[in-house]
Amino acid sequence: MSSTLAPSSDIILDVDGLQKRYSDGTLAVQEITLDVRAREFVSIVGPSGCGKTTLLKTICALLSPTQGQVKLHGQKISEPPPQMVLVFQDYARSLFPWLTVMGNVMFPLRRRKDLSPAEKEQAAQRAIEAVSLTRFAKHYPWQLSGGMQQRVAIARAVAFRPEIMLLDEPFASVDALTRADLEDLTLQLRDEFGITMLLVTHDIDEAVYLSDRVFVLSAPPSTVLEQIRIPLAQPRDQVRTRSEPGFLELRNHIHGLIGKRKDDGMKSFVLPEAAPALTLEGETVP
Amino acid sequence: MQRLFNRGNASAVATVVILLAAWQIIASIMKSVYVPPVSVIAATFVHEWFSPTFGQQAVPSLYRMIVGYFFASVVGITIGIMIGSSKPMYRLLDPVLQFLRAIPPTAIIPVGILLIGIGDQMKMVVIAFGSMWPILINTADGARLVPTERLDTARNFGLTRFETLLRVIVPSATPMIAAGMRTGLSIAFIMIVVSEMIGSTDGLGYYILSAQRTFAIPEMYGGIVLIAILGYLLNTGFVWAEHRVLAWHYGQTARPV
Repeated sequence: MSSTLAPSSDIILDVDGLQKRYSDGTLAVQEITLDVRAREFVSIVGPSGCGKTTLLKTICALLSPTQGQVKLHGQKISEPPPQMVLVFQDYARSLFPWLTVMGNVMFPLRRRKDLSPAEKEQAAQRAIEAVSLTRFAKHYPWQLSGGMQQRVAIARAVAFRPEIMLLDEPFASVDALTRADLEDLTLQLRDEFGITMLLVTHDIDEAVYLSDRVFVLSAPPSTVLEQIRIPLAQPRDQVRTRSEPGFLELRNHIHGLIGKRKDDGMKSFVLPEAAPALTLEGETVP
Repeated sequence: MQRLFNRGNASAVATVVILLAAWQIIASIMKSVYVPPVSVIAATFVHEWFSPTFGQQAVPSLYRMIVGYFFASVVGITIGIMIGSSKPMYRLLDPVLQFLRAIPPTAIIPVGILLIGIGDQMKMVVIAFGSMWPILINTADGARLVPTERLDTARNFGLTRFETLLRVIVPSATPMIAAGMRTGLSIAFIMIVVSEMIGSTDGLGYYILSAQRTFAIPEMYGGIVLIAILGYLLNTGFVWAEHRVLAWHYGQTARPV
């Protein structure tokens, strides 16, 4: 059963003035302020090296911020909360090779004393089905292709029943065709399980395709350059959505934003010029 | 059994046969009492070791070695996991461990004799001291090199420190632990022979040394052959067990994704 619940207007995740400095003094994240609403798909896009992974890890409290705070449902968080789960870019390093796919997907359910072993297996089974890997439940992750392994990582995250899924450039290590499948998978999961998605990517097209809102980051030390609403029609479709004129305008606008900061010492992008009608610039989000 | 006689092994077997034949011929020509022919060694071997001598000499050696090795593994793995997974522990213990590991285990034997005597315990302690180090160091490395993504995943899912240790760090480290244990096994073997040569009234080391001193030369060689066979069997057994327990590791490294 798939119920397409529209994103609500309730802010569930509030990142306020976040700064993260490494122990060697380098400033990874200068000041990031953003918010995420329930069941929204939010992307954070920025050039390489702008501290996107650090930002995500700080948001889910795997790292603690040097300044600023993260609030989940209005409460400040200091430990990784059960409502959030992080999917890493490198699936090979995050999955457990001594466990089967089923073993991996069941792993987050260890702490759930309220579930019987049978219920745990059912929940894991459901997550595995949601990512279309039912046939491979008894395989080991390393027996599967890269895209399938990332699905296992996503299934494991889904089994945890999070409210918010944070994805750290999850599709950077897979080929283009697989990437399209996985992109649509995350949209499906958002629709089917009502999970809020916060995705970090360097792929502007992906960000525009998937999201309700996009936050564009500057070169390091990063700040939020702009927040952009993506009013493209739902449900998204790889062919139709990407051919909409609105799609091109949005992506070009973002390219222009990131490309403009050449003088900040960042490597220059070679991009088409931004479309002249920047109708979305400065648009405030209701 | 079928697989022992396939094509690949045929050349290996042929090499061994040729070497033995060469020994036989050279020894027969030399007629030296210190280099008996293969035939004499073989006959002595069968006579000695298919007899109560096996129980009197070989079994005590194996017993001491296995007990010593067991303690080496338990202590080595425990300390290794501790220092590999905890920076404060590492800083605290590493200097001491680096010093202790530099002591050749054979140098400890006189200390063992003074403090513990020349019984089974001394040998077990000496074996444990010697074979512990590769196990400990490999375990520590294995624990230290767990990918951060796995540790972050465990934290994300709310695992306690102990659960993370048991469910993530230890399984991740098992390939390196196994490598350390394999090296430790070889060292245990050396240590049992040496400790029995220096301070013992029985055992394979004692047997070989006393055979040399009483000029029972074929018996001496026979003892060495037995030790080689036992070592080979133990090592093969270990590798077989390792490949079963670590099937996931060998499967993974066999197919780069």
